[in-house]
Amino acid sequence: MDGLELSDEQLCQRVAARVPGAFDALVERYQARAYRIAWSVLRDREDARDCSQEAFLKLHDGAGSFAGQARFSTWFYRILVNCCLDHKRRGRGWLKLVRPAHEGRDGEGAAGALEQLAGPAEDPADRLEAEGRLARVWAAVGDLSPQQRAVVMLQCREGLATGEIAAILDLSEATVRVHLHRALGTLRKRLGSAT
Amino acid sequence: MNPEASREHAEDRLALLLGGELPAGERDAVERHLAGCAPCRTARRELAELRESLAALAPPPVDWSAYRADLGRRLARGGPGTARHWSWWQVPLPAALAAGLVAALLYAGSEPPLPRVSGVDPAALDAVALASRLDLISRFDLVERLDMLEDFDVIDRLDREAPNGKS
Repeated sequence: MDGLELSDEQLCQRVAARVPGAFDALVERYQARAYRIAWSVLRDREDARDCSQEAFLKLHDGAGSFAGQARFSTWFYRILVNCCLDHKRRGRGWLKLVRPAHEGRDGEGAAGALEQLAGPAEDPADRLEAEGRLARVWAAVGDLSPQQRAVVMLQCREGLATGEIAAILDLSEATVRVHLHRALGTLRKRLGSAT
Repeated sequence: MNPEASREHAEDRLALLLGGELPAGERDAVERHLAGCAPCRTARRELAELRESLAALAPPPVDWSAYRADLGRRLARGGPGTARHWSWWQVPLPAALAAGLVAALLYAGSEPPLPRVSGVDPAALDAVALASRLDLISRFDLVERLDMLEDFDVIDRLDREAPNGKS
């Protein structure tokens, strides 16, 4: 089946009908965004991988419940962000204690955030400065609550409208705007004009 | 208009302005305000730079074929909620820690065992231990007064004073 010619919504219907290849096509279409959003909220590559896969599994099992009233992306991001927030609430701090440091912990060092920053041809001094700037931004984002982080990253990183973010997080648009205003205010205060 | 208040008012809308979400009328009003308010222009510049930095944050790269293969294995194992990435020794560790904590709390909260004395009724020992914790004992004067009600003389006098006792 050539999933690329079908809309997300059509693919989801086919997943519900267990049409071979439909699920794989949706995964390929959304895997990078799902992993990136989960990483934005969770700040850990293994947790992001885990939660984004969990969201795909829920999509597979619950595709029949997608009523088509919202966009597929809104419906799926809602599943995804809920997985991430549940993961945060459950707390997996002990896993971080037993997991070796090199196994994907990138919460504080911003190493993950910097891996794709610049190509080798860039001026080393510029690269260093940019790395320092992003490390500060990443550390400041870590001080936000998971919900504020989700709002900020969905708006600034993923370019979603506040209405869609409200639907994903099951909040009112006014609440999303308040979260956004406060979160950006906090980041500005932390970073000053250093960004 | 109070300049401070108007600045707050504009800052409230800057994120929406930069996100392209302000309706045309509001956008024009904010742009007019920005033209005459240097602090708000600074805020807009800082917010724009911040948004650029946030957009530049990128997660560590992923081997997508391995990702999909892992997802396929999880799907085959039974869908959401299945255990993943946990080594055999990682799961018992928190369980053991939790069990140890519960045991320690139970031990700390338990009563010290009563000494065993041969020939003594254990129930009597329990009663003594219980009595030792009764606050009432510390108000012995009140207990004494209550005991007086059981004095036969008093009871007898009460009987005589009852209506049936008056003949």
